[in-house]
Amino acid sequence: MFAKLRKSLRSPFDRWAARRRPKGRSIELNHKRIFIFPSRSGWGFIFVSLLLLLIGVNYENNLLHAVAFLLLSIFVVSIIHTYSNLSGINITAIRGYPCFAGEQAEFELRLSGDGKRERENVQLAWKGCQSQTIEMIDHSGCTVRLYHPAPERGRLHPRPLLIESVYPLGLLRVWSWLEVDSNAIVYPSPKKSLQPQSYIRSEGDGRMQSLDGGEDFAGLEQYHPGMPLRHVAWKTYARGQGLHAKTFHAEVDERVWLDWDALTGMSTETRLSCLCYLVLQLEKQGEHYGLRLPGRDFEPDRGENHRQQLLTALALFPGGVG
Amino acid sequence: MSDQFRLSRPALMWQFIAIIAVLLPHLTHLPLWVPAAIAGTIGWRLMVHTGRWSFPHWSVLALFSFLACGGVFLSYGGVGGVNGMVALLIAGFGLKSLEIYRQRDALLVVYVAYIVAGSALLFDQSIWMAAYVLVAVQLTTAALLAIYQTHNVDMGRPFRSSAVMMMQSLPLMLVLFILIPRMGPIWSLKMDVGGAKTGLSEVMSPGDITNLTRSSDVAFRVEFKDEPPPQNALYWRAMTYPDFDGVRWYRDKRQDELQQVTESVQMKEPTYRYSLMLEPTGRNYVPALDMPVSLPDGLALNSDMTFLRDNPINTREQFDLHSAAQYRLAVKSNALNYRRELSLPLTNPRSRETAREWYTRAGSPESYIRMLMAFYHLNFTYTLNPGKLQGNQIDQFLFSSQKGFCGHFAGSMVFMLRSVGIPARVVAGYQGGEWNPYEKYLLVRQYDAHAWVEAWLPRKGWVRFDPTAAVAPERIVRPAEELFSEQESFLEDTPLGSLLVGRNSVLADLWLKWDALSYGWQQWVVNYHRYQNDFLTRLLGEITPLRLALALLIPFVLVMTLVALRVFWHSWNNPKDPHDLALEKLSQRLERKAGLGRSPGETVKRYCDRVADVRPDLAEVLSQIAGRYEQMRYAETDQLDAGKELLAWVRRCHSKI
Repeated sequence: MFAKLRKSLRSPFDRWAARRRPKGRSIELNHKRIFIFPSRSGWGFIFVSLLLLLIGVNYENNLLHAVAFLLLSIFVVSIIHTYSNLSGINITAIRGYPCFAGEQAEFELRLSGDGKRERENVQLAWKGCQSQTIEMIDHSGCTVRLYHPAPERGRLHPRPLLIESVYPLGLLRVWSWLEVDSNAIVYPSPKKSLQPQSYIRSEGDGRMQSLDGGEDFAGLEQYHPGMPLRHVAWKTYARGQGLHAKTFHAEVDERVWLDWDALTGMSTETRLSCLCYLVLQLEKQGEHYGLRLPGRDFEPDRGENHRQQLLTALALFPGGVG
Repeated sequence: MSDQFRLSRPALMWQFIAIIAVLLPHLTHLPLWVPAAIAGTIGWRLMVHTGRWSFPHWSVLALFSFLACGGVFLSYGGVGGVNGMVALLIAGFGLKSLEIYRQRDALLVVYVAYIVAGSALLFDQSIWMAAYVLVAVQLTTAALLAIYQTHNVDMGRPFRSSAVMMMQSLPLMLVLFILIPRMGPIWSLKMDVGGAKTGLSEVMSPGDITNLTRSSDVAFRVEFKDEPPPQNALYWRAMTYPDFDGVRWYRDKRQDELQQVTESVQMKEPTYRYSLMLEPTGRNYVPALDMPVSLPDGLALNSDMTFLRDNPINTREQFDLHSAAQYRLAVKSNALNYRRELSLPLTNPRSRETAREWYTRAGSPESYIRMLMAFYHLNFTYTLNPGKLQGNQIDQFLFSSQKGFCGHFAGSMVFMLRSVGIPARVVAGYQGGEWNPYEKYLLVRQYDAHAWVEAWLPRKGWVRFDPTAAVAPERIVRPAEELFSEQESFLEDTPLGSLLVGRNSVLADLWLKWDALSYGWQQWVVNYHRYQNDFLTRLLGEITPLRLALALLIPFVLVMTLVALRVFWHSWNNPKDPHDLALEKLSQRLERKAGLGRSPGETVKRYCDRVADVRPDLAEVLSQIAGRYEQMRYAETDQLDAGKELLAWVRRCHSKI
């Protein structure tokens, strides 16, 4: 009965709290967003103080009164210390890394503080997920990677982020719920197809083609947004010669087409899973492969970028979440 | 249980430091096996920590708990008293220390440690103990903090951080201490604090008081509200001994019946108001100057006009008293009412004989007493080493040894008075005292203990006679330490006592200053509840809840603001990262020039792209800025260079606008 009552009391509060939850890519924690309340051990501490006070009262012992007051004062002072451990932290979502459905999606967040205040034993966790402890000691802040379950393909928007701390004395818990504006692409979980002829192989002309994603370094070209950061030539850039990307050449001799329509007799999700498996397989074998989805074709190619493009298309295929 | 709740090594060490720190002050009253057992458990836990031993099986722990409870029960005969409770608490958390593994175990130990630290003040409320408990609380707080530290886990940081927090808490504590109104005990508890205490005995054999002269311990301190009485009027009556068995005198046992006062008192001005701070005696008498004229709360008046208290005095206590030095007691009574004060055992025949002879010669009680006093004055010597008396002790004392101390004089005189039908009793108490000029109070030590005589005379009532004054008048007019300092056995039991008393030594002066300090401590801190009302009235005027709340709130807010200022100082002092600041200035300038401010939450990259769309002339510079910013923040290497270049590009952008 009490649980029910508590629930009915809680849900309007939860809704109210959810409305108040700050949203955005970059959120600064301030007094409007931070909650503070005695923790369980904090109530224990108050109990100990009151017990000492009670003994002091009964024995008319003023020094015991003083000890009890000292403990209560420590409690009060620790409110400020605990609050300062969280306030002023700026949380920026950097990126969410793609993963396969059923895995944990990795999100990268950057925490920076204002000034030199040291922060310690701060816990970050997506709602209901494993938390991670961080500390911010100097100016530079810290980067934290948090994992979020990704049960279904599609665009994953993480649950609310809980940031909390009980440092230094564990007497008070200070926390904040944030809606961090970030997302990760969740690819369909790869699944081996039982149909033998699931893709069409067409003979290539065997000449060299300049294609992204090969193994042999071919030179530099002007960097355009969307090129993998991995390929950015930072050294050239540091010399002040502009932002360039390294390009690679590869031998092309075969072209493979994956076709949505070739896979018949299964549900959309299973089809996507099979296609996903094939993409991974072909990429591993170093083939050139293309993809035909209803209403959209991807020319055969190979390399990390191509693979990602295809997997993303599979992930965002209509009918999924996000 | 997840490993993240495991204690770090420094946290474990801090637990042990806290346990030992709060245990030390209890060593004086704990049975020896308790600290020994705790040393054992800590040793075991350390062996577990080094990996040589393992945690004990639960059955071993259960056995230990059983043994500890049994041990406390046997040592204290139950756990009802404070001693037993504290011992049980200590034994319990000593055992728990063996089990410390997770945060929760450590929390329990720390919380009990706070209680153990505080309870040391039940046994001793001196300045030293208070200072020590403050340190112990700080060490315990360090142990609490050590549980939660994650960065750079070491031994030093919890100590420093907790010291800072203590410093910040002390002003708040002071405010609470001064302002929170005290209430009386919720239920009555008895302190059964053991330990030897010095004071007057309920049985006096003539040599007893000499034992007290060997001690320079403080008996009590008195602060007079007005002028103090002269030295020779300082007779502090503590109890009377009406019963004599031939060797010893016994205290008036009628106290048990708690008789109502039936004696009439007539008194003369001046009367004296004073507060008397009594050291623990373990007995229930309370000395008062001569004749008390008012009855304070918590005390009862015996029929001999001495105070009684229900419980023995086991802690230092203070009484506000009012006395008259000139009085007439029980004038309208009748000698026949004092059968006990007349009864004598059939011993000391020679004294009886002589008494009857002298009384016939004197003719009246008054002249008989004068004769007795003259007898003492002419024939007797005052000494702290009177030698042993045997057989008919009073005969022997009066007619052969004729050397003695106040107990001998008083006892023999009462015998002589009773022998001729004059009701008389021995009064025990203190006489004199030493004036402490630093805090303006009278210090009465155990060596000021004294015994004298009260006799009931028709139309005069009970009258005080001091045969000692007849033998050695200087004993009454000069402080005891001047008088006795040549005598060997004086202060025999207090080895350094002779250095600390006496007028001329620097040490004695220092001692007086120290005593003044501890008296002030006792007066203003330990007994603060007696003064709180006066003090608050002086501070706030009339005490109303509103004023009290304001008085509490204002310093509280002030202190908290100061603490917050100190904690948040860094962030206000260095508001932002220089790169962010430069970007902010740039966006502010663009806002003014072209209305292109950066909206909150917009990333640098997105912002630069947006501005570049509107201002193609800045596109190149802005893309550099965005690139450098991302490199500085997110690239694994070259962050510092990127930062420098970012600033350079921002400058270039400014010049282009």
